[in-house]
Amino acid sequence: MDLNELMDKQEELKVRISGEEEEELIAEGSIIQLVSFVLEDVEYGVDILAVHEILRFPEITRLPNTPDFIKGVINLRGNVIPVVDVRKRFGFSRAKVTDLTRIIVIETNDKLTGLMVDNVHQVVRISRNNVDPPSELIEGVSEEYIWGIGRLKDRLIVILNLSNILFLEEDEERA
Amino acid sequence: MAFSLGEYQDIFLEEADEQLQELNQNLLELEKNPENLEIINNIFRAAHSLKSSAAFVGLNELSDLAHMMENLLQGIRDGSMGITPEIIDIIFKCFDEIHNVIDTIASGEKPEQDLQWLIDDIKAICEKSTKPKKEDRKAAREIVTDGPHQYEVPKTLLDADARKKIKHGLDHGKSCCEVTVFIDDKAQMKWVKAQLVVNNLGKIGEIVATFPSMEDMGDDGMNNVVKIVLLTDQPGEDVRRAANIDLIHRIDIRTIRLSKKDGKLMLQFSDSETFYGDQLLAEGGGSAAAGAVRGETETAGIKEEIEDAAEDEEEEEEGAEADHAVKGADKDAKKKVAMLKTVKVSIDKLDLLLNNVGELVIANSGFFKLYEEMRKISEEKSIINEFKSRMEQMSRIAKDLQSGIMKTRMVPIGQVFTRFRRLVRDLAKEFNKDVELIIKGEDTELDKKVIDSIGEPLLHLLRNAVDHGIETAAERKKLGKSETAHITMNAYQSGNQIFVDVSDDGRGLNLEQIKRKAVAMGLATPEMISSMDDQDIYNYIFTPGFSTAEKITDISGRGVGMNVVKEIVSELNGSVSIETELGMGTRFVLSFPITLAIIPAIMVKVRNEMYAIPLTDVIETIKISQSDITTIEGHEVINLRGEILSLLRLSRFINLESALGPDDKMPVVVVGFGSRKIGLIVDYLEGKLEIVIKSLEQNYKTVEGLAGASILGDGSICLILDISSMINKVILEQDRVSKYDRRKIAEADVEEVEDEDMPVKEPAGRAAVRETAPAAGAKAGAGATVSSEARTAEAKKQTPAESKTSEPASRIAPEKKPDNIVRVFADQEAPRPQAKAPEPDAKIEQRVHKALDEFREELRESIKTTAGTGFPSDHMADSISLTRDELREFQLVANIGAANAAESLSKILNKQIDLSIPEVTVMPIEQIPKHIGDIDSIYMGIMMPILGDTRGTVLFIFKENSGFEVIDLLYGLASKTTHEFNEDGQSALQELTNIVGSSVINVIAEKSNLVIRAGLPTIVHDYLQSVIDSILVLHNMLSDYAVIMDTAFFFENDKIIGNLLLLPEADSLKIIVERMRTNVGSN
Repeated sequence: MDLNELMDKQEELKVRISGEEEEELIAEGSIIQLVSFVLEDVEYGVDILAVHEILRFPEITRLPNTPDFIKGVINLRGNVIPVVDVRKRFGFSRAKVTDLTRIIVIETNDKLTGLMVDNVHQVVRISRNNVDPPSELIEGVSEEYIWGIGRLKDRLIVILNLSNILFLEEDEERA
Repeated sequence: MAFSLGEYQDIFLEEADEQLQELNQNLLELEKNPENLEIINNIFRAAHSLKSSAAFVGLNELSDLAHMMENLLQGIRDGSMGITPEIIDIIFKCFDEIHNVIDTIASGEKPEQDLQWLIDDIKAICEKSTKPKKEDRKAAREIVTDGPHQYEVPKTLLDADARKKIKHGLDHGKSCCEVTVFIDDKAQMKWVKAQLVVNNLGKIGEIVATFPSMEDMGDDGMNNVVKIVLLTDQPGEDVRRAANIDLIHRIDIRTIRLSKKDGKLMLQFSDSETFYGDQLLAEGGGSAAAGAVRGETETAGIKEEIEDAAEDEEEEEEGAEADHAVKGADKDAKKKVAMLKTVKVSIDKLDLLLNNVGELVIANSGFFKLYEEMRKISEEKSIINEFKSRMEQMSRIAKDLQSGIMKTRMVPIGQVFTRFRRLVRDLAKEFNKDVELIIKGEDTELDKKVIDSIGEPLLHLLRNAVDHGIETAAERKKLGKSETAHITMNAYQSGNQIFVDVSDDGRGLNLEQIKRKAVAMGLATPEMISSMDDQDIYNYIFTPGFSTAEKITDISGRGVGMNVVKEIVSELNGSVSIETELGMGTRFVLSFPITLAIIPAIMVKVRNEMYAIPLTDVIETIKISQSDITTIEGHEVINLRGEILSLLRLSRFINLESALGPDDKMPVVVVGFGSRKIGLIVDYLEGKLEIVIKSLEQNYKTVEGLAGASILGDGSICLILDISSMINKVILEQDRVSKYDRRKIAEADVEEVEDEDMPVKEPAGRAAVRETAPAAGAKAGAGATVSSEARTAEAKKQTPAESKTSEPASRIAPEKKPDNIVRVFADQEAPRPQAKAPEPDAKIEQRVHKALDEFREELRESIKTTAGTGFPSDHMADSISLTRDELREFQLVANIGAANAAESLSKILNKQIDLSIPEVTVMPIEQIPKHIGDIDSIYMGIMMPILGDTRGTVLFIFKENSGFEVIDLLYGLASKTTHEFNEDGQSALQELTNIVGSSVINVIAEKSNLVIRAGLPTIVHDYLQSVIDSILVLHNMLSDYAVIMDTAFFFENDKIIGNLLLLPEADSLKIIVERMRTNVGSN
């Protein structure tokens, strides 16, 4: 066994160990995984544990007499679930539906909700230590939708507070 | 923590419940046929299994009680006790107690019921009614002594059936043996042990018989020794092993063979092999080889039994009885099989399945699209066709699956019905009535949800039937009815509805009593009631707190029950109707939609959005055009066959622009909820569809106006409209308007006061027109002269009365000129100095009264002096028995009605319309034409009959030319375009009359609280005399005189357009006036 092989092996082992460690950390909750998407140059993250699935933009039925950020309802295998236009919810202008448009179906309080976003970027892991409480620096997006700000090596990610983003109590006051 | 019996609790509860029901059922039967042994056996069996299962889950008290019951039944079964009502009652009591215990456990609490008293009661009854016991049971035993123990061993007595079985088994190469199991004295509940042994043996072979029989095992004293005759193909060791459980003291096994003797088949018993418990234990340990443990052959009970020889001959004699027994056995077998066929599944699971299958159907429909695509591009026709046929097959299967699963939600109603047998029996006993409950249509299936909730309404209906509906036997006899009353429960399907009837042949509902009560409770006035049809009156019994019962019993009479019935049934989308005949009986018919999960709906579209309206809410669909719509107070309405129907544009409700152009015909879905209905304007009707309701709340929340969503065949979502909430919304808005209306009417009254006080403007104007109309004077008789004089007098004499309000009124007068609609709002907003906000109606009426009084007084004076005769109306009024006061009252109403009419008219014509004070006069019929106008000119008369509590006619009459002008106005044409009275013109005038006439009629209805409505207007285009004649024909006038209310309408330029006449029949007028008085009085 030459040195190179040994080095490789060592490396492999390291990776494996770090992988295992990470699993543990995730299990402990000190590392969180986020599904991220980008809106108006800001990256947002949704806790992956809340994500039910991610859909391409499906046929959507408008729901009258609801706030305008409710895009409508979709048929998810026999379930009728509401879709929130996240752009509208955050007060941005409505964007065109493109090939990249996705619905992130999340589950909170036993209810399924679709979040309509321009794209789904990636899945990121982030240590809890690198998450700061929400500050007022985030432009445009109201603080109550934000759970925290994650610091990554090269960028920031806004972690969304899912129960506030949809529910629904404040809809009334907005409407 | 909640009390629990462990893992078997659920099974136990379910079983116990079933057994109890069976017990109740059977006991009721037994009460009718006390001699039927089979029923006793059934009861016995159910009681027995109840006992076992109770002991199994550790409910010893319950088990003891069941045991006592069993003893009691045993006594009945072996004939040592007769069936007395006392016994039946105590058994029912037992059932109730057991039920209580079960309920307590089901609710998660520890049962604390004391059952001892019941046990004691039973004991007492047992002792009392026991006949001398027959000793034959004992005789069937022999004593076996085994060391220190002494056992009573039951004799092996095989009946013909068993013998046949054995023969058959032996013929087929099985071996047969008799196993005698001696249970250790130390064992608790020996019969449980015995059963275990039987069960174990049952696993390796067929049990032919046990001694004592399975049912008898409950009696502890008998169960030290159990004999089991077994057919098996397993070797003897296996039999032994199977019988070997702990606390078995000894096992004897004898094999049975067939032998022939004197040409007869006989069963021959071999010597018995005996095994003792210790050996058995060792063997049970499994260490020793089976062969090593040798059975010790004892000689104690050895003898060849050829007992069958003699009995074989009896076989034929027994035949009949045996057959009976076989049948019984067969029945049992069937019953068992039937039970095995049923699986209990939670509704949730079914719903989930239904959901998935729905998905399957939808997913499958996706293939159809795909197929279309493929067909276009593919050359391979054969493959495409194959694909198509497969696809269709799959969709068929999916649909079958779907309907199959839907059917699983359906449950026969019989199980609900039969529960009530007991209730009816108990109630009948309590009230000392003789009632038989007849149950029909048990197999009719209803949605599980309906089945679960239908019990309560039925309970109330039955209680009422027994308590109030049915007479006592004595009463019935007197009435010549059969002494036994019948209550029938029936269920059947018809169309898309399931009907559930509860009918009795008792007293029937007392209409008069209900009427009195309704009036006493203030639900209706006597007049309202007199105009209602019977069905509506019967419906009062559903009102909470409504009870005609003279005394309240603990069963019924508080007036709650029927309300509950109505509510629950409505919750299930059902309805209740009543059919009753005094003295003959009553029938309540509950109807429900077949299934709640799937509903038929009408699909409608606004642009490309599809909405579903549940068919149950739909009354009809019609098409209207824009011109049919009238706007009243900003609300669109149409006249639908004489009824004003509010419209709601669905497009507006859902915030979407309608795709219809202004000239397109608009489809309207007339929907109703309760007694209210509205018309829903949609873009397109798309037909009927069966849809599955899905809630929006599950993942979102309730959305106003939506009852849920449904997924269509192509996977798209269609929203279901919530008609009740839409109607409520419309009504809410209308209420707001009607408040506004009231204010407006109040102000209209004020206006009229003003009008009266303005001597120059209108009355004079009218008089002028009258005078200038050349024909008016020509043929005018005395009446007409008087009236024209009266008008002049009116003009003159009013001057002194006006001073108070004339100044501000004239200030307002110019405001009246601009567009009328604007005026109404201006009036609304601009506070008037003297009107001081809307005055209460009564006050205004007072003022009107006062002014009119003065006016009339003066008028009479002037007539007296000028004509020297009495007020001509006076004696005429007398002749149709109306007082002047009554006439005056009527004039008040007429005033308001006319004001309303003018209001609507100006809106329709979009012109300022003024009107003269309505004049109420009594005149000879033949003078009416002269009174109205030019008898030799051609008029257009539109007659609208008044229907309902009062009768009469509203006549809107135009001179031909004015009529044409009105038509021009209505169609927005230039003046003098129309010269011909065509269909369009007719319908325009009819519509006009509809609206104007309705506004008058509505006021009368409101003021008098009478139920009246407008009929369809008809047109007569002829000489005035003919127009009037046609009305007189309609009215079948008995009197020579008629009351007419005459109002003239004027354009802005004081040009008369037409007259509105109200010709009530004299009696009707009286009614109106009386009602108005009571109404005012009550205010």
